[in-house]
Amino acid sequence: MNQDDRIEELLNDLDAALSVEPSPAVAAKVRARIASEPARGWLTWHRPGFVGQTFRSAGYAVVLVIAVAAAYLMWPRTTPAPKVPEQMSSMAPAPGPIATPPVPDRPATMTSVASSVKTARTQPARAVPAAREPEVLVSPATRLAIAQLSAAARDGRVTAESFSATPVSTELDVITVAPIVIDVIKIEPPATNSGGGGTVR
Amino acid sequence: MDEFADRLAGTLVSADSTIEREFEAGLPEWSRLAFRVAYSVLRQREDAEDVAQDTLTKAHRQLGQLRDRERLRGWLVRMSWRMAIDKRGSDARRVVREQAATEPDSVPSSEDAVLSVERSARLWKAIDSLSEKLRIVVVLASIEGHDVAAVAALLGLPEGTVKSRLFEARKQLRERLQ
Repeated sequence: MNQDDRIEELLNDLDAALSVEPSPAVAAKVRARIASEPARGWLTWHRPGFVGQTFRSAGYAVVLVIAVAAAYLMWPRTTPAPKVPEQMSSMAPAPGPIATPPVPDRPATMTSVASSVKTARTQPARAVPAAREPEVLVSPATRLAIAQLSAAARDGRVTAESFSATPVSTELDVITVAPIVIDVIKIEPPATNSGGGGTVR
Repeated sequence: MDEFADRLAGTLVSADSTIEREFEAGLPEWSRLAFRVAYSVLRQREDAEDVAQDTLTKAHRQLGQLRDRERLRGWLVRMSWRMAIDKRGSDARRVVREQAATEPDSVPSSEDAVLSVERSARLWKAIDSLSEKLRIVVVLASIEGHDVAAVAALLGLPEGTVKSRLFEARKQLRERLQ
């Protein structure tokens, strides 16, 4: 018997040795052991697939939180209007009252600005009340002009007479139109033999 | 919300019942496989049956993650092999049994039986001389006529690795039988 035959014989013996069958009691004992184990609740860690379910649930929760945060950040929000009256109230208050020049046809914007200036003068550091006049946006140039006017009034360079002394012309300019002279046009009749024509004026 | 909870509970209960049915259907085949693998290590019916029971009870707990049949078979093989190795290493009775098996009193009366015991002793001595990774390949190839592909699937190894290990095992056995 050569080596290969002996190997084959050995492996055949191994096949035969491992052809043993377990006793039927093995399956019955396994069933009994499984039945005797405590019932598994919903959230017990040894539940089949519990770890996978836990990670999956955590993933869903993270996705949900991210979605809510994104929706919150992307939601359009109204921004409050800038507080212009605070800017107006920062102007230096004048020491005494000034006379308001009589301007007959003042625009509404100017009226509001004048009243704001008056309020700032009488109550310099007061916070803007909740119920107040409508806010009016004033350009920086206008604000500068008002400040200069206020300073000039304080120094006495500008008085009520300064405004009333200025003549305002309300008459329309008359335009003189020269008379139109139109020359007489003369049309000569064509020279024909039949005659009968004349000069047309 | 209550409806969702009821539906979820119903899904889990039906998943549990499906797992139980699958386990019950595979129990005869899996218990045989686990027992034979354990027997190849322990060579004692009672010990091998104990290991098979432990392995199958653990497998029942793991069924949720081991739904694939082939994965479960591989898991069973590796688990029963490992538990049998641990049991053999820690069990003091093994020494007593081996001594009893080699005593002259255990020699049967008939010549065939004597030959069988001698062949069996020679067989297991040769198998035990192999390293663990070669031994499990040889054992699995002898159980239920597994071919190279089946052994590779059970051990989660490439077929080429299984082939080379089988070749190396036969070579080592040939050297020891000289």
